[in-house]
Amino acid sequence: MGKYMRRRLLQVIPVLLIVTVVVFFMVHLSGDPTSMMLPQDATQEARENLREALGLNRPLHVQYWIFIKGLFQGDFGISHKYNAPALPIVLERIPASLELCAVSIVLSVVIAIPLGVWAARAHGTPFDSLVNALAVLGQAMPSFWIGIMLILLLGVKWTLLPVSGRGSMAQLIMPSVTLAIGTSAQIIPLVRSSMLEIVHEDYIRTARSKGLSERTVIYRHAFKNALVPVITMVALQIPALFGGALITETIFAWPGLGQLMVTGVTNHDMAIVQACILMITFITIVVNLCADMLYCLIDPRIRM
Amino acid sequence: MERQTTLEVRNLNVYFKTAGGNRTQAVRNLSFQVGSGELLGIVGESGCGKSVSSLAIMGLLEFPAIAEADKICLMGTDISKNSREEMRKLRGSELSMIFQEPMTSLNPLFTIGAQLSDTIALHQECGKAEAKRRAVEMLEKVGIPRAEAVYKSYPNELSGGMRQRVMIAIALANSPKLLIADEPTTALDVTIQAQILELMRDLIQDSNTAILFITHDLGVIAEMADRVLVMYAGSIVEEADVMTLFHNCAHPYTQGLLDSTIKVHEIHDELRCIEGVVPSLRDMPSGCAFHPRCPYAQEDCRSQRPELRKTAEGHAVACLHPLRGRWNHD
Repeated sequence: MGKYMRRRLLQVIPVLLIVTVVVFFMVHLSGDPTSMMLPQDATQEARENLREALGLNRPLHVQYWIFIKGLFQGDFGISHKYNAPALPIVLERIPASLELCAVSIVLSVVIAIPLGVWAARAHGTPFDSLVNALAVLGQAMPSFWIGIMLILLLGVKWTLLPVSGRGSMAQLIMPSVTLAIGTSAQIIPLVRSSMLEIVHEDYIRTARSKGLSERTVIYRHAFKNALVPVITMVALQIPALFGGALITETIFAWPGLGQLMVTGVTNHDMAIVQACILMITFITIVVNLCADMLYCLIDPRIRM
Repeated sequence: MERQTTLEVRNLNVYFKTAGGNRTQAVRNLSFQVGSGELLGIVGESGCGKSVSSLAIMGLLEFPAIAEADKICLMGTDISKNSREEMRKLRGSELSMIFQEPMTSLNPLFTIGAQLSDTIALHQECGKAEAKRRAVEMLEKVGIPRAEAVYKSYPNELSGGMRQRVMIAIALANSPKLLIADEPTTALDVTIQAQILELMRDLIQDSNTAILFITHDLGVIAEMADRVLVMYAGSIVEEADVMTLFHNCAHPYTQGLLDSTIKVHEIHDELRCIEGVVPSLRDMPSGCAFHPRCPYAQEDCRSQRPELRKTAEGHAVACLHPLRGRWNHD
């Protein structure tokens, strides 16, 4: 297992390098940041001067080289909007993103796994159909609509919860529920279908033939086998929630990475956008590594 | 020596519910008994209801299959009306089963030890350490070398033959009164098959366990069984002790099965088989279910369903025109 993990860790380096190339060129080819930094009526000369000062007139590969050298020294560039190094600004947002991501993942797993298992056990009954219908509904409702509905009902009409910002537990409820609805709607059908498949496996019949209780058969013998695809799904959802909760973060004015990235894009703040994407890439890789380790722990056949 | 009856089945019927509320019958009025220390073979082609009957006895049938029986007596107690919980307690202790497919019958995510000691701990109500000790002992008993190491290994680290030994260890761990072996050697290659059969024979000689041995391999039956039930299309067509069956069978289907086996000392131009296939449950022929394939079928076979009739002590056949006297296997 140690050898396998070392190999997986080494694979991280080329992945990160490729991502830097993609991110750098996409950001640099997507427009001129000086258009946002100078007033509309600035002269062409002032524009040229700024481009020269920012090093934007140099060939792209030279700029990329400078960018990479900076990365190795922890320099992600200067954000022109905040007029400060980009990395600390991004790092400052991570706790907020982490908090929202962790709570919504836990919430969606807590909702999805029991519902998926119960639906599989009650296969073909009205309960199963109800869970299926809820999952389809959850997938069909866009998060911005759920968010706005929650704000309208819980925030405005019944004034039960604060509608925006971060700081208290109450402020965390609505954004995390919004995210958890969509995520659990994706996990439920997966849990249900993998459980349905596994309860017909020969080893489940063996477990029953040994006289194990139905509870042990389902929750120990079947569920552990159903976990592998579920872990894959959750591992895919974590980065999506971490950096990709743009809409939800914007609706609830949640000061996370997603929101920072959206403002970075609208301001053409290259350093911020690059730093955000690299951070999300890094987190994606770490989460995938953790998922791989979990597979190894669960399934001895992967430990080769 | 008079054997004590371990299992007695009276009129077991198994149905499958189909869409539209209809039901088709997979097993029809199955009645037999098996005594302690006896090995009763059940033979027949695929789809004859052998496995379904054994799952019905174990209480392991799942919807849409439904079992009904006048009685299923285990050691004199009728278990056919048992609740699910009562059946669960019997499984693994009094009743146990070995399945056909050793490669998929063990849970890939649990160690051999965990899968063996959980049934021991459950039914013998002993602590973890004691369960482990007994599990390792059991692994040694079924001829597994380095039992301590195998105890800690996962199924994917073992060969098919080893896994089937583990399955046997699991099935016999709590000294069951009845063991159902559902084609335990079919998925194994011939040399391993011989080892497993020998192991089973050794293990049962020491105990009084009654065994239902399901197979379609008559060679295995000849080697292992005391008595044989031949099943066709969900019913018993012939019941005899093993010598009678091989030398003096009375049902044309049994004869067909015997003729289909390959005999080493004979030269075959072509392999013989029984023409046609087992009828589908939805499309059972009238009268004798075997008549469309039977070379001796007569007019009355099409309309009359033959009952299982005793023709001699320990020999019964369900045929309107049994072969006795007309044909002799020798």
